[in-house]
Amino acid sequence: MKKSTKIIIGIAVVAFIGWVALSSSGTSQKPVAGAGAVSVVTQNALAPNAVFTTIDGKQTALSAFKGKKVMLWLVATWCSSCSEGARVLSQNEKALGNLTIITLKTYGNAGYPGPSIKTFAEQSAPKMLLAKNWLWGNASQNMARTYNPRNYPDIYFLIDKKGIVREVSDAPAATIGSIIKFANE
Amino acid sequence: MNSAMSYLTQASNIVFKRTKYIILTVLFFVVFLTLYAFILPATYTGGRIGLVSLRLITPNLALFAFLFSALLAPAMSFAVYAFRKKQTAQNSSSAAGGFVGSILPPLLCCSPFLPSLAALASGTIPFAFGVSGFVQGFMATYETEIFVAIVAVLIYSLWQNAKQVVLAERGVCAQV
Repeated sequence: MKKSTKIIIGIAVVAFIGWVALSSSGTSQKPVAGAGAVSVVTQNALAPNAVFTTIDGKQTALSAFKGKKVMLWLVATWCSSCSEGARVLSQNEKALGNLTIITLKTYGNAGYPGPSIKTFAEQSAPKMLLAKNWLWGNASQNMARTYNPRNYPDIYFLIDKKGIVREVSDAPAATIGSIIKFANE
Repeated sequence: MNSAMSYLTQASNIVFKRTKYIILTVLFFVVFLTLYAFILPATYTGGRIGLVSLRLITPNLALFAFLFSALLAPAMSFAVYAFRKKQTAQNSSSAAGGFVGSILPPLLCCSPFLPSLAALASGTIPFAFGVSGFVQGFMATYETEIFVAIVAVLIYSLWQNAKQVVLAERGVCAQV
């Protein structure tokens, strides 16, 4: 076999291995307790209570939403999958029914500076700033430690009416199907 | 600038008068375009690569996927041509080893992976390997600038490979 053919085959093999490895790595992430984690939020367990601040400055507790289906979403405002996620969620407003979406800038913005959560909302999903069932705000340090100890730039929790975490995932633009399913089941 | 264009024109005339290199270039283009169409939207999918990528690809990303592929495909064909030319020269004469010199295009091995690496660094790799938020944030914030820089590197790579083709055809030592 000629060397050039071997090189082409080699590149193809490396590309294929990379493809397989990366495809398998793209599964949804599960939060794991980090060094400073107070607790770990797990699927099918009660969602711990935590406090956040809305963009109009109100301190709000997550427990106040008991009895409602909630999507608690912690984002970094520089994160592309977050802005795309907000856009796709906004596009699917009707399909999401009465799902309460709480979108919070994660504490420390996942390690890199970025715009405020209000600017993020204005750029990604402006009409949802006024939507009744969509809250925007900032996670407290305690909430971020509890829900996002690994400081992911994009992580969400689907919490049912009883306050049980039904799903932990990321990138709503890619997982919109399961969010709509949760909202309507 | 003229000599740069001259190398590209000459290399194109040399390589693309052979039908098999035209087919090879089209093949490279299709493979790379498919690859980048799936990989580049990884920043929007949280690192997932699959059909969801095509659903989320933006005009901006589609443009970069096209540019990367359109630059890489001829660059790869030039590289293969120059490499084979070197092989032929080496086989035909023992002196040809020094004659054609180190003609293997220096970017043959790496250039196809640059756009992929950049896309993955901002998309999939952080999720897979827990890259720090600072690196992720930097890559996400300056994604367009990074892609433009990669286009510049690929243009340089194309020019380098075109130069290697011309030098190989003339049978002179490569100037790397």
